[in-house]
Amino acid sequence: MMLIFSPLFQALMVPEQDFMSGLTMQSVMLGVFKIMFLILALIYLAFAVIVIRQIKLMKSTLITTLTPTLISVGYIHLVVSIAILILFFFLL
Amino acid sequence: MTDIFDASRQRLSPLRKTRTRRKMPQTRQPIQENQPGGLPRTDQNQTDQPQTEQNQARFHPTHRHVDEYSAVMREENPEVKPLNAWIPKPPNITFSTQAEDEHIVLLLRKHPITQIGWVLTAILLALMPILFYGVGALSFFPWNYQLAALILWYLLLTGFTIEAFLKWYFHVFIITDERVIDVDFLSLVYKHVSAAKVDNIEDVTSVTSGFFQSLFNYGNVYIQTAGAKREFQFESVPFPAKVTRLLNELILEEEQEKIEGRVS
Repeated sequence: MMLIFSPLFQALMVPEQDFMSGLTMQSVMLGVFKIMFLILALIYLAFAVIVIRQIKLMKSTLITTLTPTLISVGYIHLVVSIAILILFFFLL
Repeated sequence: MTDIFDASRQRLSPLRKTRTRRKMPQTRQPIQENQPGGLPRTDQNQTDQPQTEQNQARFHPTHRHVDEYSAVMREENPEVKPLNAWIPKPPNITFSTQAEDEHIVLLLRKHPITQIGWVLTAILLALMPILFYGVGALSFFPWNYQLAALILWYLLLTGFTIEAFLKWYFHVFIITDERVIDVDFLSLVYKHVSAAKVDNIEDVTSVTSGFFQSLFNYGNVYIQTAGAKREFQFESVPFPAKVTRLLNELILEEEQEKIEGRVS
């Protein structure tokens, strides 16, 4: 998919082909991508919270020896999601 | 009059205790006095019973172990691995609505071979960035955006894998010595638990169809219950014929319990 769109992006980002300056166009595009990355990371954080909630809910429904491990995995997943959101703030 | 009644009740209370089987979360249908195998409910009838019959009832075990009446379960050893799809007599697994004296006979999940689809998808998706970065599809982005895209890709893949695993792990079919329970965990936001008592089961059918089902010995088990006329479906479970045999044995045991008067 990205292969198809890559010439389009390249065309948009080449300064000579734009009516605006190349730097401005590139900045706008990267800004849009930054917002998209952050929104996706936020949505993913919400998903990680739902995972924790569901594991806790199912923990009471079906109690197995693997339940503590699953809860730990859920919390690690949540922490990683938060870390990545913070990373995106500073990286992009 | 009141004193006689109280004295009679006090005298018969140990007998009643042995006959009362267990506390169930769902109320059992009361057995009528004239029902075959049903216990007499009035104190007058209790006192009129012959002494031998009372003793017989007293020495009946209130609850037999599944190995005593199930040929299928006698062949199976208790399974302790929580990730298996066929877990007979699990010692370390319980569920929320389990009664005090209720035992899990068999816990089933979908056969692992049915999960091969999402496993292969996850592997393919994990290899996709190699292709993308190999042909330089994202090379027009600055390095930090490329790194962010890579991280986000694997994050979404992790989410996909976790959801698929949890859906498989928590979608279980539980057969106890009293009930069949279907815990549906179709997505992270949908959970459905339904249960039916074994003595409400009217018909059990197992279906194995197709190449993979025959090869790996798994299939569907359909359980028709009385009352609400609902059908339980255990999808893609291992050894469907064994499950059917086990359910038939449980039904027979329930009938035997009624005949022997081991139900309250």
